[in-house]
Amino acid sequence: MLMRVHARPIASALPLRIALLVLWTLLGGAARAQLPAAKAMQAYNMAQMDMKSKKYDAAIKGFESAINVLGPLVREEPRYRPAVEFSTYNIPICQLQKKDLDEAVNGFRKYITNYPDGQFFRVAHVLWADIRASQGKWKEVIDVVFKVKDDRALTAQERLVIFQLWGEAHFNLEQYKEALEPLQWVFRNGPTMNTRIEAAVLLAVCLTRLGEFDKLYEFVPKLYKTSAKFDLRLQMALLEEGDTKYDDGEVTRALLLYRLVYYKSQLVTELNKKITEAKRQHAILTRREADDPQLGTQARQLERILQTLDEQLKQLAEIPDYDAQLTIRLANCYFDLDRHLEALKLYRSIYDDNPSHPLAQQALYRAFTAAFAMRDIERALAEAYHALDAFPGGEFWETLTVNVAIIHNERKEYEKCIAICERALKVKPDHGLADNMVYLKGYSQFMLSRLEAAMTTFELIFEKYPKSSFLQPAQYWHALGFLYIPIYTPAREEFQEFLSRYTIGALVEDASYRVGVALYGEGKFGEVADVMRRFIGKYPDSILKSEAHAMLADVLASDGQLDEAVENYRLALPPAVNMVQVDYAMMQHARTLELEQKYEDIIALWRQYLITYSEMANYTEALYWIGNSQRNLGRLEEALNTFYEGIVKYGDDARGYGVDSMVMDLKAEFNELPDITASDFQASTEDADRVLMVSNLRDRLRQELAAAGQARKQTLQLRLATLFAETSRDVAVRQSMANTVMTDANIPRSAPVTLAFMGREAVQRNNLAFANKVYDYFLEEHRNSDLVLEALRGKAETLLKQNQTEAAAGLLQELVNRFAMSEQAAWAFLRLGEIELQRNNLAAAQTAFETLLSVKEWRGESWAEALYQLGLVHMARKEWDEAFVIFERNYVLYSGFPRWAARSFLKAAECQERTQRPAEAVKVLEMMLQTELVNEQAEAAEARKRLAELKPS
Amino acid sequence: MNRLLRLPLALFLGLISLASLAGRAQEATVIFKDKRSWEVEIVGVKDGVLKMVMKNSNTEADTPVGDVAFLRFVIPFDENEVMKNYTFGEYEKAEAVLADKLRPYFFHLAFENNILPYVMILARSQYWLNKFAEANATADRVLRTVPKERPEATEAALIKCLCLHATGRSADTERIMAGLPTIDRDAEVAPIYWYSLARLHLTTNNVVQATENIANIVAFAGKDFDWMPPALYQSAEFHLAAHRFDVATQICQEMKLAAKDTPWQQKALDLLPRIEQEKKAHELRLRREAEALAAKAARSPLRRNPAEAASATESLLKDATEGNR
Repeated sequence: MLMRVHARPIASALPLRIALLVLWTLLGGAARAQLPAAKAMQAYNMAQMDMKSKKYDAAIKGFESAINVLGPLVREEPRYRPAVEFSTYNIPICQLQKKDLDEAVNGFRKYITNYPDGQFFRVAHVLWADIRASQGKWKEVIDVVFKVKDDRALTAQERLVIFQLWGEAHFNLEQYKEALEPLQWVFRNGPTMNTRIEAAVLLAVCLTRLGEFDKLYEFVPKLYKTSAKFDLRLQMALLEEGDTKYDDGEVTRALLLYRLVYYKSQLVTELNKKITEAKRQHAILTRREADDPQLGTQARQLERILQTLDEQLKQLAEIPDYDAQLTIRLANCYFDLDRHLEALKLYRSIYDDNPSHPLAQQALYRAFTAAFAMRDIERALAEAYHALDAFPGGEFWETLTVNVAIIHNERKEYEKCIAICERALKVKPDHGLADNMVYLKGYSQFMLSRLEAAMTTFELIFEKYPKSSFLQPAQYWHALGFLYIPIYTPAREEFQEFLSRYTIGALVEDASYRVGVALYGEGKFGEVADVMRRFIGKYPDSILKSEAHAMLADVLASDGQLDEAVENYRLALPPAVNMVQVDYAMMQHARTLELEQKYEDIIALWRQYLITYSEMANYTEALYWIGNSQRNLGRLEEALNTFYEGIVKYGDDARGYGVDSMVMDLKAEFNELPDITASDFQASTEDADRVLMVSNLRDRLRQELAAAGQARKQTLQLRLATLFAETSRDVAVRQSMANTVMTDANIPRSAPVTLAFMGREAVQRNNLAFANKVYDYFLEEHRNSDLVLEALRGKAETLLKQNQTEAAAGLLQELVNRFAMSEQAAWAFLRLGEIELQRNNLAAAQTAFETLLSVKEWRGESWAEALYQLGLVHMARKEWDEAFVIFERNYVLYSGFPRWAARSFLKAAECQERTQRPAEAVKVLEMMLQTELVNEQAEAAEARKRLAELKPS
Repeated sequence: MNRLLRLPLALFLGLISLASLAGRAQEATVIFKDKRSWEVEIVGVKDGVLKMVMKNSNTEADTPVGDVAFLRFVIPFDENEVMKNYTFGEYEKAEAVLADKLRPYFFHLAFENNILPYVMILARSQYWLNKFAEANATADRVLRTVPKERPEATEAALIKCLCLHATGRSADTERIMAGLPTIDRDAEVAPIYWYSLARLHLTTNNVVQATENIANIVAFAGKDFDWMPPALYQSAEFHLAAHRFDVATQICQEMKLAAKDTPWQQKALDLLPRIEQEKKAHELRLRREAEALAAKAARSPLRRNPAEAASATESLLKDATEGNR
């Protein structure tokens, strides 16, 4: 703020006064003083001319001379007073022009002292204050201003300058509160926009410093439409106060201040513009000052502005680049206020504007956190990957990779989780959170059923991070891996080891239960019962309590303790936390009752189940059990009605798997119908009743098939079409129905029973592509169906036909894991063994065949084939004797399966030949050709040929 | 090349009477591309020729439009007064002067000139005064005459869009927006552009995109006191719709200052009780849902998983008490 007033135009008053003096001289005057006074007046006049010609020293001399001579005469000759007063005033004016500022101030003081009623009294104050302002002597400025600020005689211009200086002085003394009154006055009363805006800047700084936000925002919108907004004092005040407010937790206020701050780059540009403009104006004023001395004040004002601007520019140069910091602070405010989208955009802009900025990494990381806080996980992942790609191995690599891995894990995106874990460790082998990454990788592998890979990964934690907090869960999952493979003994041992190490936590509870499961797998049922009883006692609130009761019941049932088993199935229901647990207990309970042929109890059990669990219940399964029990009780009509109602009511729900069971049963019923019409039967016979009832049902279901088509119940329609396609005796009808069912469009509409039919038909028609589609959809959508076994086998067979052994092996493994005791599992073990044999993985092949041979229930052709294959494994190892023993055992024990016996004979003979025992080989071949049925096999020709070679005579 | 014709003034004026619609001539300095300049009174343009009267000689002259680099008009009003009025939000005063004085100059906007900034002030003032038809007409005049590449043309198109939004014709804006050049984040017109895009997206119920555009203004146009207040208000409404009540409240509180002395300040104040009301209703709804869930759980034959039950309760309570996350 600089002086904004011009000295009262002295020259304008002069002609009149000179004329008076001349007149006074002409009239004679005091004779005593006349001569020196006249000379003094001449000197005075000369001084004024010198002043105009900028000869200030001469002018001062002239004025002093006038004062010296005329001063003492004033009392007697008052006519000299004006000249003396003007001289007293003009001396400091000249000194001011000479830049003798202190002298000028002394001169003004002298004038003020001598002429308290003088016409320059107020302007002398103004100039005094103005000089001290230009010297930065602000306290003196205030003292001076206070002498006149309330003087009513001040002109508007003088008042304006007085208030400007007053405000500026307090401002510069950081007395912001005191500065408010004068600055507000100038803002309200300033005659020009520039004057008002200049005041507004200072006012805004004061209000900012004082935290007077309400008043501040009265000015800011107006101020920000002018270039005054680039004032560095204002900008620094906003920034500093913003920091203070943020640190004090006043985030909204900090935000309001930060928002107004300009970036350094913008300020430098704008300050340079203002300096150029001020210099241009200063040059004009300086040129014109000679013609109009009053412009000197304006020039001084501009000089001070230029000085301020230069200082600001220098200060700005010394401030480190704060642009990105400012953006971060703004973004932090938005983040803290839960306005994450704005935060994200600001963080992101730092990187986008300058990817190599030192804060760019932090900014991208924060962008990720903002997106995450928005719960926009897709965006969070995109930001995270962007950050990872932009700064591989960077400052936030570890935190980001772990977070990304956790997100993928929670979203069950296990492949992606594994990929990020591997990438994280590859880029930064000394990853600070490596144990976490390894654990997440292992967990994901486990969830993808890559059990062996998962276990290997968990072993890494055992070896490399034995002190990690992930050791405990890694050990748990490792043991569970064994359980799921399934290799029960090491699983049990590891769980027991786990329980000896740890005593508390959810995993301990879980492991306590898993020990029992492993023991069950080992066939140690007695121990299972003990473990489960202990578990139930120790963890009465466990979510596994229901499963523990069910397993205990399973064990008891297998031991023939059916009543106790049934009791435990009942006990499994109240603690059940989900319907899976309820349905398992129900199913096992029903099966146990079925063993005892307690069909009424089964019906009552399922009816109670439907009442208790109502809308959560598996209706179709319950109805199937009820219908099946009714049939077993000989109440066929009731049973068929139950099936009919079940099919019609729930048949359009593809996940109503009980309907599939009903369809399968009805398929058997329909296929048993004699190939005659019902009317051919005698109505009195039981068979006739049965045929009639089944025929009636068939007719009703035919009608339902038509109705389902009209009602667009496509799943029901396809289920019924499947039933009739599979039971029709008319090949053309069957073919036509099958063709109707087997379309791509029908795949997603079909229930498992239809899909299984489609798959079988496709394989039969050698349409493997369609079979693949069907099975893929089945396995994707209906893994909980009882018919999934057929899908797994069908898909595996299809893959084997296409030589995709790797994929087939995966499905076969799943089949044996999930349906360990089924006939299909025996078939799967055989195929798995074959695959391993082909790969020359002889140990794995041997394990597969020996596993099959360990299951008594599979005794029969499966064993015969397994033994033959086992013999081949030994032959591959050139263990001829061991192989011979196995082949011999096979054709001795399993001659009832001539296909495998014949092959075993041939291989046994070959083993004898390989051990240079041709006579023994001949004996084997002769025995083969003498064995009934075996000698009818295709292999017999080969045997004869070989025998002829061995016995040429 | 320039041609200077010396014809009787009356005849000259007669010749261009059809082309000159301005009524009376405007004083200006014509600055040619070859740096020469003439002090003239502009009469009009006909057939690619600028017609004028030389001020010093009172003779007629014309020159091909292509030779003119700039027309520096003698501004026919007190520039300082207009700027002061506009800056201090006294749009009515600014508009009254500009609407009256600028009319004859609309015909010369195709030239580079010193009048265009005032035309833009007129358009903005009319928009802020809710004189949408007038603002639209002013914008149209700019669009008809100012080359498309000029930022003023972009701003005029955006003002037009806003007028269309304000008069319920948002659908018409799509074509205009599509024809705009790429607008840089730091461009002066960026806030209007984002605001207009947000309005357009709202007409198609694309709240996600609308939110993105409003967030652009809030994040990057903090010093724009024209567009920040409506953007903040819209942002508060978005948060309210998403049940982030505390954030909506915070924005409204912020607007007491950030939108001071604007109509948006009052709108924000009016929104506060609605937020409170909806917050209570939402909490009540959540509480009822929680109670219903608890009742259902109590009726269920299944025992609740203690861990899941705890987290579900926590989550419901959190939603009920915070409601804004």
